[in-house]
Amino acid sequence: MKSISISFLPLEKFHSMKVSNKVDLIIEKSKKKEILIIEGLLSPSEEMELIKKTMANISKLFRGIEIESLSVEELQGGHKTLSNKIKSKMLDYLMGRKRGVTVIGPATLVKEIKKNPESISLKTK
Amino acid sequence: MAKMKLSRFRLSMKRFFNKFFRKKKKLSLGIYGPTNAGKTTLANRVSMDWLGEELGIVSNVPHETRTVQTKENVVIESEDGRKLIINLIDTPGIATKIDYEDFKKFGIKGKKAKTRAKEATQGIIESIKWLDKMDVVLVVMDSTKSPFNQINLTILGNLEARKIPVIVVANKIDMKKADVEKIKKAFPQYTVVGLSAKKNMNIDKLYKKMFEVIK
Repeated sequence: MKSISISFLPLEKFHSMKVSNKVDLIIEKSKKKEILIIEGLLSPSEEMELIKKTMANISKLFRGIEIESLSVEELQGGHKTLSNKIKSKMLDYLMGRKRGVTVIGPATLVKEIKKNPESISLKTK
Repeated sequence: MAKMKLSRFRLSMKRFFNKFFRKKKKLSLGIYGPTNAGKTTLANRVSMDWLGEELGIVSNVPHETRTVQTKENVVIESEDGRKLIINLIDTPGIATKIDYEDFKKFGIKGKKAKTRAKEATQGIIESIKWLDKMDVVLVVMDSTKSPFNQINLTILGNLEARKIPVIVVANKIDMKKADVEKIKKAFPQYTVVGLSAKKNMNIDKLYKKMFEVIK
């Protein structure tokens, strides 16, 4: 039976990290064949940095990553009412970024991470 | 970080002045998207339509396009005689993983597969670097596949952050599984054009939308 390591990065720690540190941590975990769950979302520019760094690190042993994320809005199945939408936007504003969850795994271990409307499913190889 | 903010500021100022004074007559039109969405097929179609020659090689092997390819001074004409002069820029497909062993399925093995993988990684980095040079971008998606993938979201998010006008191209509408409505529902804030670059379906609609988006 194959064992899988899962790491969790809480919002407070994730939010306080520099972009380069976030990217380095993700690649380090993936190289160690760990699945990383982040309580938060990467910004589009952070995602591009991650792709660039991932590509620069591709080797025989590290073949890239699988990544999917869900915003709080998606997790709740969209905003049902206007007041919910306003509350959610206010919280995003106060926290300085959009809230959600991100799942990242090494491509050598993870076959596919799929986003369903309100959940994320992960298939290993 | 400060350097990045300054360069973003310069870029937005440049765009503002270009738009305001209409100085820039030639626009850089980039074709972006995940691998095997049909970007080069679309670039070839546009290039054939207005220049009479193709831009790049098309194949079903992932990462066939591994360098940014351009055709300069492509003049697109509208039905009412307006002209759009563009530099057409086809970019390698963006991906988060590259496995040289995947190429074996397509008969590419050993050193050739490893070289192809290496070139593909460099192509992706090059694609990302070129984003800042674009004035307008066609984001090509395969309409037979789910649009909710991280690559599509990352590309659109980065274009939005740079305030670059976007047209989403829902390609491969000639295929049975094609679902343009799903892409429209996924990205309601964008102009979405369903077409088949391979079968030359609805390309005229794309040209019309280009004149609407690039005012």
